[in-house]
Amino acid sequence: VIALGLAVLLLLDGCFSGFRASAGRDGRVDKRAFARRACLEGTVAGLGAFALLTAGCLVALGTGTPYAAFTHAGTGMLAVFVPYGLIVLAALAGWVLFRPLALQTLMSTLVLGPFTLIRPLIVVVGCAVGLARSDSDVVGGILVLSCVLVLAVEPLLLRCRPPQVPPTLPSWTVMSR
Amino acid sequence: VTLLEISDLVLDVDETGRRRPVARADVVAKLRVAGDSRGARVAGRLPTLPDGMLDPDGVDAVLLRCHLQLQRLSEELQQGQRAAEVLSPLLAALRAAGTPRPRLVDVGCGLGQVLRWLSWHRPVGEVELVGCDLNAGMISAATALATNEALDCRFVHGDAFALPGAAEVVISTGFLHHLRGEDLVHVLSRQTQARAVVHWDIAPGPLTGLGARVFHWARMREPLARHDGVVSALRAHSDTTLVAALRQGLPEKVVLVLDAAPRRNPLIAVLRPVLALDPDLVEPFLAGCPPHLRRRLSRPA
Repeated sequence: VIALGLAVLLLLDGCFSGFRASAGRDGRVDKRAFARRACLEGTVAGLGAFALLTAGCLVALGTGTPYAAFTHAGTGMLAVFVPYGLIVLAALAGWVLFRPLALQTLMSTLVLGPFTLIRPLIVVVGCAVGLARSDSDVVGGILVLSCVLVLAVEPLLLRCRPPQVPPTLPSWTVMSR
Repeated sequence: VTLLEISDLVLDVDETGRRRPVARADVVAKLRVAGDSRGARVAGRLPTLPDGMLDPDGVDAVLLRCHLQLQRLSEELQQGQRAAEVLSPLLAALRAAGTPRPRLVDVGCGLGQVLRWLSWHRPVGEVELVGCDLNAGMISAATALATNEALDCRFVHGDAFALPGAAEVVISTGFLHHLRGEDLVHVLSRQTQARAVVHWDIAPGPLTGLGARVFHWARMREPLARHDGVVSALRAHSDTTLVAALRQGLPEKVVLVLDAAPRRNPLIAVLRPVLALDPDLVEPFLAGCPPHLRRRLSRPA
């Protein structure tokens, strides 16, 4: 359950990272297809991180690291990530589902904006809590790797994505890096 | 510290819309004199030509990226819908008064996201949508975007108040705070021919500075956009200043404010419009507003 929870969070974070990396790049009014593709790319990047981390965990387990060391660390991480994730998902659901502009704006100003800003801090704190709960160097190494990978998805997508504004616009509208 | 926006300093156009060269060193010096060392650093990285003058294409590229990111923020805060909820009853009142297809001009439209949103969603009925900006790069990008989505709106480079034919409605978003003192009154006084004027701008309040920092750091990537976004919020005009300027510039009109201070909720009314309407339009407009909107409108003393 712990591994599954972390995997779901990793993929969701990848999806949202893809969306954020695409935001402010397409000036069209209707950017549903663009956003869908960006979320998909983010999820694929998240899957890549997931595959790397799974491989690391399997190698560690194969070389004698006890499974309990992972569950201990994972529980600590979930204690940080789950409340954060639930608040963000609730605000996002509110933004999408509520019609009154005032409520949607409130979701943005109270949660979506500030929580985007503190996301890197939450990732670091979650991994630090996991590290504090683990006495295995191997698990610690995988936690540090997971922290780096999660934080790298959005900048990586920013660098890899070609200009996505309509082709009629000049090519120099590509985001600065 | 004097609050200066870099985007105001890098673009110098004459009254015909033609661009004058700007030296990067001058921009940096102005920001340093104003006590804005961070702004000076941002401006110091803008692209130049070999003679030290700002590279117009490079600057346009930076400004376009800023406006794309600003559009993203505008979409999150649903500026299109905010505009539509006020413009819908206003345009309906104009149609009832005998103008079947009112012309709506967006001054300083940038990428024209509000007009393009209105054209795409069509929430305000029959209307002619025209956007104007002194920056030719913005107008060319706005036109390209509108063409790409086959939108029924057009964008014109140049002086919004020198267009052939009068506009029934003049609007702007995030434009008024660029104008200070006499300039503000002067620009408003050039809108006397319009039957209605609606300007949305950042609503100053106790959380404005903090909110602007959070949102511009969370949502913007271009350093110039982050800098100017925060400065815009810090130098936003109060209701009192805008109402006084509207009364001075447009003395024949009736001034209304949506979400006026101090009743304004700073977490919700991020951008608020000030309106100046011909007296005969006020009652039909208010009658057409849904009750929740009517309650939020006030006539300042």
